[in-house]
Amino acid sequence: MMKKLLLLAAIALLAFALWPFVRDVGLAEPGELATAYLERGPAELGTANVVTSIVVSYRGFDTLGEVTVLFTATAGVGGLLARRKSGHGKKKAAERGATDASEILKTASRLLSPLLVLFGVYIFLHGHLTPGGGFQGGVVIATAVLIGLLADPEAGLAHGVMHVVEGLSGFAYVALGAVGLWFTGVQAGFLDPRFLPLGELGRLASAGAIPIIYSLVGLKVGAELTGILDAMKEDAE
Amino acid sequence: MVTPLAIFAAFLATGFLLPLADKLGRRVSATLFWALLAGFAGLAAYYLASFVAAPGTLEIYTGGFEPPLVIALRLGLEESAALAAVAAVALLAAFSMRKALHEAPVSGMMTFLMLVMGLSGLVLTRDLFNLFVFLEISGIAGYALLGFDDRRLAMSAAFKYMVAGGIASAAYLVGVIYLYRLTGTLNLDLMIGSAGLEGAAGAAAVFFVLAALLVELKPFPANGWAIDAYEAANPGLGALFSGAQATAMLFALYKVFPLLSDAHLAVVMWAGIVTFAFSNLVGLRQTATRRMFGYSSAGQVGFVAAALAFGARYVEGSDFAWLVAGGLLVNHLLAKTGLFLLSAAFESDGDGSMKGRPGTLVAAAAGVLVAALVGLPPFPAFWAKWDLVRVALATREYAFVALVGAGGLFEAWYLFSWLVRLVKGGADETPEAAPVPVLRVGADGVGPVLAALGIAALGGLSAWTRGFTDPLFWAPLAGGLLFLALDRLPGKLKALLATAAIAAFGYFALPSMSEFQKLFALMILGGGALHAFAGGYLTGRRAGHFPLYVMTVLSLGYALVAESALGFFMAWELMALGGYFLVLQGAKGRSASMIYLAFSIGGAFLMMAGLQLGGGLIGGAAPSPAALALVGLGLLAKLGAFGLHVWLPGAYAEAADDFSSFFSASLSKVAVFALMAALAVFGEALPGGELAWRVVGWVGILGAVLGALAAIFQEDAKYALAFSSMGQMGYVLAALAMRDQMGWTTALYLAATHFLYKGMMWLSVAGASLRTGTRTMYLMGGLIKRMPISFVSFLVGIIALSGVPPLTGFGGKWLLYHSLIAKGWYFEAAASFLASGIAFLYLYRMIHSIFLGQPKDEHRTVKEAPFWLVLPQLLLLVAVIAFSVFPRLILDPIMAVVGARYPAAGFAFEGQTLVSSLGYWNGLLTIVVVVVVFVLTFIWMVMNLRKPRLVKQFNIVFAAERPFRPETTHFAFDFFAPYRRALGFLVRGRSEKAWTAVAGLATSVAGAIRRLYTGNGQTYALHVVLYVGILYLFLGVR
Amino acid sequence: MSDVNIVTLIGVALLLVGFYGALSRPNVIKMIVGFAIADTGVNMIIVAVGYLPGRTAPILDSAADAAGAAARMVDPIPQALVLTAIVIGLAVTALMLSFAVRMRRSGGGMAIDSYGEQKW
Repeated sequence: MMKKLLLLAAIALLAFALWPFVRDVGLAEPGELATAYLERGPAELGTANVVTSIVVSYRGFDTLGEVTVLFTATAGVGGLLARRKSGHGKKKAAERGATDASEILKTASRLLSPLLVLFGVYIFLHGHLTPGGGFQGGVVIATAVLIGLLADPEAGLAHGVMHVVEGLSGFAYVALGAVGLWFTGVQAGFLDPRFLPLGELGRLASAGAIPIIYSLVGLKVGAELTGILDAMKEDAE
Repeated sequence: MVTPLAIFAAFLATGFLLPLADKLGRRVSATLFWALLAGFAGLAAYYLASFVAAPGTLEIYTGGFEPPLVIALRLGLEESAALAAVAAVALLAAFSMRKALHEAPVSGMMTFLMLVMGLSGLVLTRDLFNLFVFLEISGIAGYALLGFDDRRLAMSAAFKYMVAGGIASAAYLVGVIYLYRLTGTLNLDLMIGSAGLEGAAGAAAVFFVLAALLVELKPFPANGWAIDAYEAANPGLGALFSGAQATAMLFALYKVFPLLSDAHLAVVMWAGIVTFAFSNLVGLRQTATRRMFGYSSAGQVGFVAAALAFGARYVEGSDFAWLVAGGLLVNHLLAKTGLFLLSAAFESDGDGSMKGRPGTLVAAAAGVLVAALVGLPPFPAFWAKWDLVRVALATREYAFVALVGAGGLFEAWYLFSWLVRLVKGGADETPEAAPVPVLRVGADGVGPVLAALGIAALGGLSAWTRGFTDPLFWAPLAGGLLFLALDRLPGKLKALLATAAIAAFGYFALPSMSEFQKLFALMILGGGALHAFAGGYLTGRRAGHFPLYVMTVLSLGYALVAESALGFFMAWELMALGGYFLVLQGAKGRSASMIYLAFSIGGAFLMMAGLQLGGGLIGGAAPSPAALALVGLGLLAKLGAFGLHVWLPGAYAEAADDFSSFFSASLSKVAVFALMAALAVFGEALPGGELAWRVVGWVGILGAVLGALAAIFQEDAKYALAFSSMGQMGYVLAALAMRDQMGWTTALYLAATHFLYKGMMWLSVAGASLRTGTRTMYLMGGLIKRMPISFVSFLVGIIALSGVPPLTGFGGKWLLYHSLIAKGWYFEAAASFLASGIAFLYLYRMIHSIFLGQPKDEHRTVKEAPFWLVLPQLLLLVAVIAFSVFPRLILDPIMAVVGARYPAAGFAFEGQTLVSSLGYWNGLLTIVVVVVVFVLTFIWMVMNLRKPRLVKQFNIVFAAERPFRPETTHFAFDFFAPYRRALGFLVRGRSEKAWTAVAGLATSVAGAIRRLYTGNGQTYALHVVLYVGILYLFLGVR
Repeated sequence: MSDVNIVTLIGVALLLVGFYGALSRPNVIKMIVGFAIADTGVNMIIVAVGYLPGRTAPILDSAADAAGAAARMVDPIPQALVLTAIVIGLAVTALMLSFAVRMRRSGGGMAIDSYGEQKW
């Protein structure tokens, strides 16, 4: 009872503290910085999707950090859930008394998985043009794997390939970022994508290295999310 | 200069490739891991060196554009210092965790690297959202590392940690997005001073960012999750959290300070200092080491945050942040890292029992780390605390100062208790307990020793940059280190060397001393040299004794000549620390040393507050009653004045015998010196006026009466002498309180003679107990024939003490009664007369039980005390006789010193005769008269003596019954039982009871408060949310 | 209520509901769900900050001329930030769930108060 009251008091206090924000109804015009991005993004980086120019380039350092967060979490999940597994022999699904997935699910997943992978690749390749990007594409790729796992939990993933894809795409991302150092200058050029030609706005091969970087992010995110799903799946017992 | 972006590139590239490298073998991945960490540390050191050499800042942008479009980083002196700190702790922690890291899956090393990189990002970034990203990187890496420890406790602790971290993240995001909304930028430097920060929404947005950072700093009481994490974590990881992560978080907090209003800063300041005081209070009840370190860490980090906020509120410029907060922080991070690593090396997991005790070097490192953490000199926190308290008093933040003092005291108590368990091996101090073996820790000892060296170097640097370049200032530390290096030499050789060292110090210090200082130098340095020589009386190396002894004596010496209040105070604290360890070295010194420590630290803090209140510089300060009262209280604690004396008997009695003697004869005098000096500096006015001085006088007199009374009931010779000292110093205090020529002459004379005769008595008893193997008086007896010189020394000592003619004590009593009566303090005079009477009883008992009567069978062959003890006694004996015959030898200098302050009135010499308004005293004449009377009565006795009958010692028969407790049949046991029945109620230890009640109150409050820490992660989360809400109310946003 | 931003209000409500759930449900999984709800609330708050009434998403199509973009589009920054926030939230949730699994496997129950061995 006491705890309930304290909890309500805590929530009420928090609501009180957040109230000034609710009263704030927002601006009618974008701020100076937003305007600068909207006007300079397409011109300077050749991206149609302004959000992408921010995510990959202007605030690319955040994105690198974001990839790192996901990477660290994956390592954590893997470390946590994989360790005990090695000690215990894996039981077959049948021994656990699980029933096989239905035929519909299996067939549908076989049909959908390649399409989903393709769609994911499309999303991250066109990140600078259309809504979406590396993260969205990576997530879609991971759903392909998820569907496959649902249909056949015993299906072994190619861990080695996953690790190589994850490690190399991450390394390439950092390396591409470092290339900018030579291009723009040591104190400012990290993650500058303009060492490749900007091309024509709206074309696939445009916006400098942004599509390449976003593709690497997509591959890495896809591999990492797949790793998380895999670790959680194999933990079932 | 290498761009700091290389740090991120290198860490990420290595981190991403590590799983692939691991496929080539653990050797490959481990090599990469260590190479990266070492490279990072090297780079950080290079940055630090470059910016120290050429100050400035390096602004780094990313993405090829300029802020506000892109994320900016900054590298300057502050950043590079923080990076170096992170790197140093990371290296030490990784080294301590090397086994776990090499055995765990490769993701362990990966997350370790990501944690270090995240912390570097926290330090470098100038973008608020980017700060959030690094907050999450380091957070997630930290949770994961906790979880790799394959124990249920670690799992649940990590989960609790994540829950709290999740709340903080949500608050941070909400705050940061509204900061963007209100200021139009995420760049910290462009945000500063923006008009958007004003108003309710601005204050609330800043508050949410601030609250998130505060929660990450683990504030009391919303820090249960953090304490659990510290307890569950691998000690290396604990060091990483407590040292590196806290550094980066504090740096992040410091970064956002320019956004904060004074109200925000006040929230930080009070949240921090409350955390310091209360975390340490709760820590009092803690026995599990790592949990205890957790409380200490939370407290220390709160302290640094409070100091930062305090500086931002009250002090212009960044020097204060550097010197005070920076000093506290570097002190904390090195000390805590070292302590966590020590706990890893010496404690068994879980139950906190020790696997063994450390050797001398590691034990010294442990002592350095604990002393540093507690804020003792010469380590960085000591200097930082001094400055902080000075400014806090100047700005009248008295509650703040009180919390600083209380937190420090609590922390000292539990950390030193832990230190005692470590160096003494954790076993009980029952006599039958086997000595704990020394545990060789090999490489695991490197980390703590490095941390101790680093902290000592930084402490020395702090002192040097504050202008302490006087060789005498450095002599105590240099002496201590020198004798630590010489510790392998034989004890007798070291005794001679120590005597020489102290004499050399005197030789260099004496020329610059005033008469007043010389008088005390005689007691303290002279006594120090004598007792250093006496230190050769034990066989063997006496490992660890001489470094501490030399350091203590030389710091006392420096206390006499110090020119600034800070220098004096540093010497004072160093002396207290040395004394503590020397008491601890006694066979049963554990609890006595802890009580001594508590009173020393508490008293020293009062003294520091008083010194600061009075203006800081000796000689240049304004009179201040409050300053005098605080300094005086601190000094009375050291003097063992009645009510503050509970530490004294144990500390005096349980130290090694030669140090007991120095403690009582010499060390106690420094409080008299300081009291007199304080009166000269701060004026004589006390709050409460003359009445207060009358009370002080009565405190002295009560000490004299009750000290003497307690002494008569002691069975243990050292306790009897200890209580006797308390009584004698009571007279000195009463005489001081008179504040006139007669009173001060008396005080100085009593102090000087007490030094002489008490030294003789202690050393004599030391010899007796060395030869008999006991300190219990009724177990000795009849030693007069076997130890005649010791007997004579003791006899002269008690005659000199008791105040009967003809020796110096008579003069002392004569002076005392005259001055008391002349002052009009008649009741005091009567009471001190009573005390002198009581003193006869214990003196008689002591000499009778130890030296007279029948010798014990097993003592029939004991030898005279070693030469090492006898020579100092003889020297003192000569001095006593000389001063008795020619009182002007000692009284002339004393009266010259007193005359400089008080005009001659009351006492004056006419030839060899001292004249007062009430009578006169001639030392030589007194002796002649006494000798004549003695000789006449002796002749009369010999002539009239009937032929005595000699009785065999064992010619007694017990009446058919074996005594159940044999000692009860010994005449010397409970010698004054009738007096105990009559007067015992006066000495039932009311002061002890009162202080025990205070201590009990503290521990029970601690016990009540720690009920907050239920162990339930959800409750902890509730604490966090409530804490944030309540802080918001304190902020008072409208 | 005209001076209230509805999206923000909903976001704040979700945040509070999420916290309430996380702080009142003893089941560890439900606590995690609570935090996920709160995360969503925070993300809504972020997006709401960037929303400008009557404007379109900050993506140029080939037909549009870049010059007038600023006048027709919403603030892109919160959208970029929320992307990062979402991914980080996902990572945290995944890690929390892993801990829940491990705690369960270490022999504890699903209730948070069965993990209170460490205290005081």
